[in-house]
Formats: sequence, C-alpha cells, structure tokens
Amino acid sequence: MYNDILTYLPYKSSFLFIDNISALDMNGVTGDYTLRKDAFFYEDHFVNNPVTPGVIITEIMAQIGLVVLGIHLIISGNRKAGVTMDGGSFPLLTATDVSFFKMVLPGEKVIVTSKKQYFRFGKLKCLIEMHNGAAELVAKGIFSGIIKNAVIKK
Amino acid sequence: MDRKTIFTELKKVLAPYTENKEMLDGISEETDLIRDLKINSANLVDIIIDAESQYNIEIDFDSAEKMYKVGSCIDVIIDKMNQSA
Amino acid sequence: MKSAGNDIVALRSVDKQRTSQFRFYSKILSALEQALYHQPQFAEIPFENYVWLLWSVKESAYKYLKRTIPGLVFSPTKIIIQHIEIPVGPLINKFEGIQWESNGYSEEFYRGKVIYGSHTFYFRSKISEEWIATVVNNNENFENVWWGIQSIDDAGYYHQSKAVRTLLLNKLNSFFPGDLQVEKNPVGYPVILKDLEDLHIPVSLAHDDRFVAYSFILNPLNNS
Repeated sequence: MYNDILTYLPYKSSFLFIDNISALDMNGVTGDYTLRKDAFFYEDHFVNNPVTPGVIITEIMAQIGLVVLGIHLIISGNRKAGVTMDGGSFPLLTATDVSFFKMVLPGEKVIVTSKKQYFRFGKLKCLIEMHNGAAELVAKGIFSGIIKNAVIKK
Repeated sequence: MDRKTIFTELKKVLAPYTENKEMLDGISEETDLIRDLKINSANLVDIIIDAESQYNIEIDFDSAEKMYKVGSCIDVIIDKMNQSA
Repeated sequence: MKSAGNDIVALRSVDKQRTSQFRFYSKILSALEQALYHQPQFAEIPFENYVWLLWSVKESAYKYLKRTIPGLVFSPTKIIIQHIEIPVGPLINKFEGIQWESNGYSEEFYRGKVIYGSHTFYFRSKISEEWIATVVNNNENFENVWWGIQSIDDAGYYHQSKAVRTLLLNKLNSFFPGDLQVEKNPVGYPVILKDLEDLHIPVSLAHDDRFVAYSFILNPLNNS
C-alpha cells in the first residue's frame, strides 16, 4: 500500500530488510519482513542451529521503524517536487536501547510497529516493537537518528 | 605452619571458586588465579576473606593486591601469620 | 589512546550477607565511597547493589587502563568513584528478555565519574533484577560506545567465553562484513582481527554466571 517509499531506501537487496509497509503516517509506521532461510548470517550463527542474530533484529526494526518513517517525514509534501535521497540524506542511527525477548528462526515473518516520540531539529526518536507471526513480542526498544535534509531537485 | 601445608590448604580455599577442579590438582606457585584457574575476579575478595578466616589474620589493601598468583597468596599468608604471632 | 572497559556482575551469585560485612565491602569501597552511600539519593538502593555497582565500575576502569598500563594490578580501593547520578526512571529494570544492547543513551543509566591517579573516566551502568552491567569511557559522550548483554543457558567457562565472542562478532559484523576473529594479546586484552589484520577497535568482554557482556568504541562514520 505504501511500498513506493521503499524506492527511496539506499540499501542493496542483501541488506534491505523490508517486504511491506502496511501503515504509514506522520506519527508512526507498521511494516513486515520475512527472514530468508538462505540469509548470509545463518551460516555461522549458529552452525547447525540457525537463529537470527540480535543485530539483524535491530537492523530490521531500524529500517522499518526509523528509516522509513524518517524518509516519510522529510519527503511528505515534497514528493511531486522530485526528491532524491543519497548516502548523506537518509536517517543515521545515533542511539539505540533494545531488549530482545524471543528468538526468531529462519523463515519467520516479523511485524514492526514504530511510534514517533519526537522529531525535532532533525532528530527522530521512536519507540519500536517487533512481534512474530503468533503476535508474541520479540523485541522492544528506543531508537534515535539524525536526519539530514534530502536534496530536492528543481 | 610450612609452605607446603598452606599450599595444600589453599587448594581447599580456592575450590569453591574454580570451575575446573581437575586443574586445581595440577597447580603450582606460578598458577595465576584468574588467567589459569578461570576464577571470576569478583571472587577474589571472597578468597581473601576466606583466607583471613582460615588463618585468623587480617589482609590489608596493599597485600591483597599481590594475591593474584598461588605463590604470592602463600607469601602474604605467611607474612601475616608471622605478624600476628 | 582509545580503550574500552566493561563488566557484568550476576546478582544470583552475590552473597548478600557477606557483602554487607565491613571486612568484605571495605576491601572494595574507599572510606569516601562508604560515606557516599548515605546520601539521600541512594536511600532506595539496596547496599549490596551499591557495593557491586561500584565494583563493576572499578573493574571496568581497570580493564580500560590495562591497555595502556600492562603491568597494572587490580586494586579496587585505588580506583575511586567521585560522583554518581541515579537514573531518571526505574532504579532496577526488569530483564525478562534474552538479550539487550545499547549505544548513546544516558539519562536512563546510573552515570558518574571515576578516577585513578591522574586518569579520569566516565561510566554508565544498568541494574536489572538479575545483573549489574557497566561500561566506561574517557569522555562524557557515549555516542560511540556500544554495549550489549546476553543471557545464556550454560554458565560453564568455555561456553561463556564462546557465547560472548559470538555476540560481539555478530555486532561488529554489521559494521565490518567479512571474517572476524577475537584474539587475546599477551597482556590479556582482546583484539579484533579481520582477515588476520588488527582492526584496532578497542573491545572489552565480561561474563559472570549466566550472563555475558561486551563493549567497544566505534564511530561508524569514520569506518564506513
């Protein structure tokens, strides 16, 4: 529904952890991602016992909850003006505080919900939660990032 | 009390804090409590207190900081026992 | 020189009764630190938490210093905490999870200043029902200080050691894709190798009972 925003994301496919954005407004975002069974991080983590590493969980939460929302906040109203994002204009994660409650196995689908706490002076702070397909809480945390201005093409 | 007796008794003092009990049998005066015996540093104070109780001595800060090898533990214990005798 | 220092104390393995004995805590706390506990801000903090909080700060500072002073011997009463602020929010966090990680936040932590001789450090600590964890830095800005904690099933030494390395390397892999290794240098502190080359990232590892913890200093902007 809101997936056109994904074209603004500066990630390559192996490091893009968003399948769908199902809700998006100025105050929050919801999206999901299904962990690929052949993802590079399962090889070593752990041998014969693949579990999604916490850093990947954090990355999924940040991409959906902070990056997508951050980009939406910058470009809304400017979409028609032709906004382009480059390496310097996407949100940069500056602070995180995340607790993990459940493991995520290869092939599982996770749903990320983010609520904006504030967006001031280019700094975005969100409370982000991740649930699994059984609606169990997987992880929860506070994420902050700095958003530099996007370049608006005339 | 001689050095050898203290050495044997010290093994008993260290035992509750070492995971690797077999390793305790093979210790020498050069054995490092943390590095070799894998004793958690948070237990060093326990070991000092246990040694104090065992020999009825008091181990001050300056002596306590020397007690990171089996041999230096024995040195401190003998030293303090001589002081209190 | 940039360094790193952290520590974790598992509260399950703490002997509360022993901690409250003068002959025990006086080997960890200086007279001034003992007096500091009687300030009103600590009224709701149990004494054993106070003692082990300070212990973890001292141990973290010791690890930080050990990189620059290889011959240093840990002497808790010589590393002195000068100032402690308690968190805005709960004094004890619930840790129902399996893992926790953070960088950059401040007001939610215990925080303060610690000195050893002419060296000054700053610390951030977090207390849960099960553990006390600390990280130190030589600067009051913790934006580039990364730390994490994980609970593990097996408290055996070799398992702890393996688990903490996996946890750290996974985190570092998100900044440095490729083959990373943790090696101990002769002084005893860990170094991170990528394709057998030293990355010169100061890291610190800790474990106690069923908990493992890492910390490292990294400015992602300088490394990307």
